[in-house]
Amino acid sequence: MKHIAIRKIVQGLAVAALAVAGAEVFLQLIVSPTIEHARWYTGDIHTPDDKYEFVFTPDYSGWMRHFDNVFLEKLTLDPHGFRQPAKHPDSKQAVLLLGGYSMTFSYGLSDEQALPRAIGDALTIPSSIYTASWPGFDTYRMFHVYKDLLEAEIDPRIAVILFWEETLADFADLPRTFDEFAYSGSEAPDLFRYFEHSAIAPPKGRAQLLLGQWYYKSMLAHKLGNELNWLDGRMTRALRRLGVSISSEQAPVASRAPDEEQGAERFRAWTDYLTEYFGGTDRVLFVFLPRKAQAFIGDRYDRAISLLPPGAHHLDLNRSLGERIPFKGGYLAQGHYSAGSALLIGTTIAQEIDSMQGADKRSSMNVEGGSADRPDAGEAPPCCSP
Amino acid sequence: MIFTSSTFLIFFACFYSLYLLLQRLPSVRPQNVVLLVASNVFYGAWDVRFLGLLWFSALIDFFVAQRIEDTTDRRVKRRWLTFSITTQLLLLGTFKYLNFGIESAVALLEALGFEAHYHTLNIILPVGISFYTFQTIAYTIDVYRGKVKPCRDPLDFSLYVGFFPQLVAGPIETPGHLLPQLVRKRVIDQASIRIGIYWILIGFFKKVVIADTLAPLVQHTFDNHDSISGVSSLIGIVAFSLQIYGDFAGYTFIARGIAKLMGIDLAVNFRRPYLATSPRDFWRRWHISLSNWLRDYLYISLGGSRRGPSRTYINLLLTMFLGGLWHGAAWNFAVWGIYHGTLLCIDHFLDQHGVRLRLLPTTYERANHVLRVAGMYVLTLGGWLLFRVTSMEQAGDILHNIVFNFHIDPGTIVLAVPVITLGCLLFGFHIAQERSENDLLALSWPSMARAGVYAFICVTIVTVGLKPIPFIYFQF
Repeated sequence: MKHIAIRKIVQGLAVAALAVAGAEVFLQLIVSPTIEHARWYTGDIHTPDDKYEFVFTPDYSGWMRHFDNVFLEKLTLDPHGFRQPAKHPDSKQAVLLLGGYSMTFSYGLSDEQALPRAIGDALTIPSSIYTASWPGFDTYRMFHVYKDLLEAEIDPRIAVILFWEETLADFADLPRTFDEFAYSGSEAPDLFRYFEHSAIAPPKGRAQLLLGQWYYKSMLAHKLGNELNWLDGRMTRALRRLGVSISSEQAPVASRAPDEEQGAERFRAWTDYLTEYFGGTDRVLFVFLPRKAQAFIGDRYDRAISLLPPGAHHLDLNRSLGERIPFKGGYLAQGHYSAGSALLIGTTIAQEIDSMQGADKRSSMNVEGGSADRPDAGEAPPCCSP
Repeated sequence: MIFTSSTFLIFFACFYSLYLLLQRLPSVRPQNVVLLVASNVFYGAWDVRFLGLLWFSALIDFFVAQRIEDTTDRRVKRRWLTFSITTQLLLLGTFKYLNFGIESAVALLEALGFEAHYHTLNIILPVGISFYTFQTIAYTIDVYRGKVKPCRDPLDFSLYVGFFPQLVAGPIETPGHLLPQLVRKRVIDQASIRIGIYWILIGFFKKVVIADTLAPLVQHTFDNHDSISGVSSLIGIVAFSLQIYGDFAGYTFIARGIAKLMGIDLAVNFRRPYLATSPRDFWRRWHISLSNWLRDYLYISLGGSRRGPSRTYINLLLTMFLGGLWHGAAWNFAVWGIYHGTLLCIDHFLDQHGVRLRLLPTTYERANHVLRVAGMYVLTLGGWLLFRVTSMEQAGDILHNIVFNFHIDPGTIVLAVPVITLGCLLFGFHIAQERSENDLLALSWPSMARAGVYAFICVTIVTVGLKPIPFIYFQF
């Protein structure tokens, strides 16, 4: 009897193992591993790099995919690994979009729908729009990538510096000097880490961390990690409500110093540096991009705007456009802009650039180089200053 | 409320617990009351206004059927029947076809050179209206034909019309099959629970894993037909054939499984349709309840094959044309119906003249059978192309792409892998069922193998995740 019971248990375990292995293989086949949702791109979009840990592969050709309304959207990168610039045949004037993570990169959108095209199409003064914006790269890393790869080719008339969701504390770790890139390899605190031919957002939950690499390799482990993490979160909250002290482990990203004051000081220095670098306030536009959960931003953009250089042009698009972008349909792939939203954002940025260029034309008669204070450009919309 | 949503699972768990408790009572009536309330909640969850239409439709036929039965005058019976069918078709026409009719008329007038001004109405299509109106029409006609006695209990009749598992997407039940089961005390034994759970799992797998996984792929290939290769376009059509089967058959299996758990047998709606060897065979396997309805209440009423060959062909074409339009108020559905009607006519013609298509000598009968199945599948794909496109121009473009741009592009492999995997799984399972002539094949396997299959199905469903994506046939 005992032997029969043991045999049955062994058989049961073998059957369960076979079923689980079969399900894993089956799911890997029907949700193709090269476009597995956690990685968002077909393979080899990232290339390891000594300086930046990874870069976007030059001349990459592949697809973006996300279960949230992005299915095999074609993506071809230029010889530097940037999104294709929206070049205007009749103009040598360049506008540079720097930073803004995957929002400026326009994840999930074709080149025709992407932000550079939307801005280029809406500008009244013909310009070619270049992007130095990579998903996972903050403005600091992006600035140095721009200097390494693109600066020799273009002389931007306007540099649009884009921020998305950053808190001031996120800038606390910025190096003391900005001229040289201060990190090496994986030291750089950033959103993504390079892992098996692809850069990914490191898992943040305890359960996900526990699964290690399997979390990204296995469909079942991925699901299990997410479910366990959800359960862990619920239990932690419940225990805290009962007065039990629980520490919530976070991914290495959490090692950033949450020092708002230090961050504010570095942010001020950083935006001053960028303004000076690109030729003064009339040639630099700071844009704070909208977020899907608009309220999440709170007053963080207000605080950042108050630290910008005097006379700096800026747009708080979270405030001015946030409510005009519908929660449903306005976003895809977990909060990225849909084509319609990109058009709206692009048009608004283009209007501000137009107004800056009009102003700049007048001022350049007096001051060569365009770094003078901004002349009166009429009543600014509520989102803009000065 | 969609079967694959967590809301439905909670709803069903609550309902079924109560239903099982009431099973202990000697009378079926308390169970029917609970079932009716649940059906109202289920249907009203879409839009409470839809309930009014449903019960209006039921009320008309409840009384009309009794009037038909109570009178002996054939002309009066006929008048009542005409009244009932006209009312039901008016309901269907207003809510489903009015805008389509206006738009088509305007397009025709404009094509003839007239200037037409029009307004379409903002009419919401009530979910499942095509299904329940056909079901009530079947009831009145059967009472008229003397095949069934009218139901004189409003509770039972309401359940016949609004039985929630099959209310929104069939199977379209006949009164002779469903009504008696609703009236008598039902048996819920171990076997029915086993079969019910098996069907529900199979249904979830077909919907969640097959149909919903392929849905974005199909969308992509049809939306981008001008920028992908012909091979990718073809893969898209194959993917749609699997998606629509997975979606619709998935719904039917879940519906039948849920009903089985309640001790009620719903009609078989699918029997491995892609293993059909001829157009007639296909319609004996695909959406069987609609095919039967069209045959019994339309084709036969038009005269069927009793009025000579040419009239038979006209009846076939007309039946399939209307069957196509039943699917939706758009011309591509009508063309799809005519396409299948034409195939049926050709099949009928060949059969009448004793022609049996064979590519190989009779000694290779099995190979001939495989070729016939493959040939019919290709013809079915042609139909699905017409069914899925948004315009005839798109169908033409896709066909042109397949014929003149037939090469592999870098995306082809990415598209092909899931389609081939799911296709092999589906065809493999169907072939095994067909050869064993057993629809419940997996249930006859040893317990360990069965447990393995169940574990595989459950793990894949949970990993893919339940998403409340509506079933395609809800729009019909």
